[in-house]
Amino acid sequence: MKENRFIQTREEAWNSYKTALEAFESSSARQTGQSVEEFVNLYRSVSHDLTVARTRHYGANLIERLNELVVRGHNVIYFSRAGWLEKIYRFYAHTFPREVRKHKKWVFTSLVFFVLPWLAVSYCIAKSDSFIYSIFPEQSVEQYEDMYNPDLRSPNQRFDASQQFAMFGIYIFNNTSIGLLVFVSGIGFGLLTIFVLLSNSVYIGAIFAHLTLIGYGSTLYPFVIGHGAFELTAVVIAGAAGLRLAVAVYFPGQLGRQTALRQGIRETMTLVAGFFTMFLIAAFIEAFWSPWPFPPSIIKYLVGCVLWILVLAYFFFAGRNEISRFAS
Amino acid sequence: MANNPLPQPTHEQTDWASGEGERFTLKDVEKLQILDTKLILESPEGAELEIRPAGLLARGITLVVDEMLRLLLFLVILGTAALIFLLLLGVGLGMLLFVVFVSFFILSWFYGVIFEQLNDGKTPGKVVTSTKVSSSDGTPVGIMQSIIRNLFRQVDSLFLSIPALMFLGVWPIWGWLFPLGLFGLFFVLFSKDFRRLGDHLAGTVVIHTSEPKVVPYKGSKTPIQVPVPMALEDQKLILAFQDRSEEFSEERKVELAEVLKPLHGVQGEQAVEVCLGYANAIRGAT
Repeated sequence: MKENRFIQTREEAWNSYKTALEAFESSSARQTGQSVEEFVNLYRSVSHDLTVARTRHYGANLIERLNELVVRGHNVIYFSRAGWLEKIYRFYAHTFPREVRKHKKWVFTSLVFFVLPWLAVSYCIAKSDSFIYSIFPEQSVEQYEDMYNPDLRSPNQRFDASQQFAMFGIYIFNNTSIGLLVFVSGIGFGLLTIFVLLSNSVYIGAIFAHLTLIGYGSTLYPFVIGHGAFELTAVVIAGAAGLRLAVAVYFPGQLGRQTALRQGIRETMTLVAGFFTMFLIAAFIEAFWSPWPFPPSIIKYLVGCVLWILVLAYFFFAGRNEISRFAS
Repeated sequence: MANNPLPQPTHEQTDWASGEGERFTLKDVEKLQILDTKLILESPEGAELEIRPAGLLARGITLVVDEMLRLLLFLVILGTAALIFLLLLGVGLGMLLFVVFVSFFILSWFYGVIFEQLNDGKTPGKVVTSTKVSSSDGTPVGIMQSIIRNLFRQVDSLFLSIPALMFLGVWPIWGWLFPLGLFGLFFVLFSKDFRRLGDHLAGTVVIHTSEPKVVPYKGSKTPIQVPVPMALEDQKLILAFQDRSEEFSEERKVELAEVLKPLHGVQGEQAVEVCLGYANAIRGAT
């Protein structure tokens, strides 16, 4: 068949396909009464026409035109929608805790990187008074001491809600960014991931040990226990996700390195979304609950313990029995 | 000749077509296809789709425009916050700072994600260069893909991040603003479809969206019989000549049509007429 005959015979189908396509593209298909079945059938026949036009080596203009029609239809058809509310619920109730348990090897490794330096530096500071100054300059140590000095906290100290909003913003920006970077830099052979885990562990461990030894624990621990439940676990999970990526770079196994990495990312994106949420919760608690001077320390400890138990129980137990509900 | 499995075009075919007797073998054609940046996808219906990945220049312009806009958006938010602060005489400072920090956070990590999701794969920079992000199978970019390709943008400037972290103690959140995104440049240059690391990991590719220029042929439809049997590739060349004839200048048309002088033996405008006539004959009568 010559090109022009071909166009003559098929022109009508292309035009009705185009009308249907435009209706589906603008999501007005229901109003204009386009049937999905008819559209899909037309799409198949136009795809066929494109193949035919190619094999018969018709002119470039015709092929270009059909190609454009098929590409647009392809984009409309191969696209999925699902209820986002149900997705969110399923994610937190089911997917996230399960994925954390599935990656317990890396969570544990990350925990070791985070806890061991903490213990080591605490031991060193307990042994030697001046060890803190080899980690922080004298000025910073003084700053931290002033921040948590129980004698400097006057009872009429104002809790400025406005200022806490600013702190909320800073915590979201700073902590979540660091979490994301710990994950992302896993791809650079995991060096940066481990570096950030270790350095944070050393800094926090050193400050905590120092302040405890000089007797400021009574102001420090009620402040940190609440948001720590979310923040510290989130850091460990971020580390685990980063290490998982690094492992895909080092040991791709039977796969190519790129495929291994893609698989690693597909697996860890759940962890990323999870620790992201945890950082946001931690930022909220750190900004509005932790610095609130009104509740007595015992309440702070109590709430803090409840939060820790909740977080740990969530990771140990959530989503274990729900497979049947979501299996369909 | 004997150990070459590819069929060679005959001497006659090449001789009159090039005018110089240069032989264009199928191997050369294969090389040309490697040079071509088109990406061929096969749809489940068996049709082959062509998409055109955007190259380094388009990607570079996109980057510059997007980064400038990102900075501008941030300055606008900062300026608005400062203005409101002045108007309210200091009330609600914390709230304003909250908005500034959160928007700084969102802009630095999710600028690309937001625009790519809301505007069919096109950030404002991509609108300027008529490109868009697409899944490497040609479907629209998904939200997870958007997030992945924008998260790993940080790695593009890893060589800046490490010294900044070690010596300044800060993460360069906008590190890729600086021309030190060596990783990113490396990946774009050395991957076949100009994909940066984030594209590889997310399975996306930045493609051109501008419609290829198609000017319909409006000239004479009289067919002129081709005097010799013509090979398929040559027929396609004649058709392409007609399809593109509206874009060519008169001089160029004459120049091209006169290449076939050994075949039709005429010159100037007349040669163009004859060649267009050949195309009509190949295409078939209307």
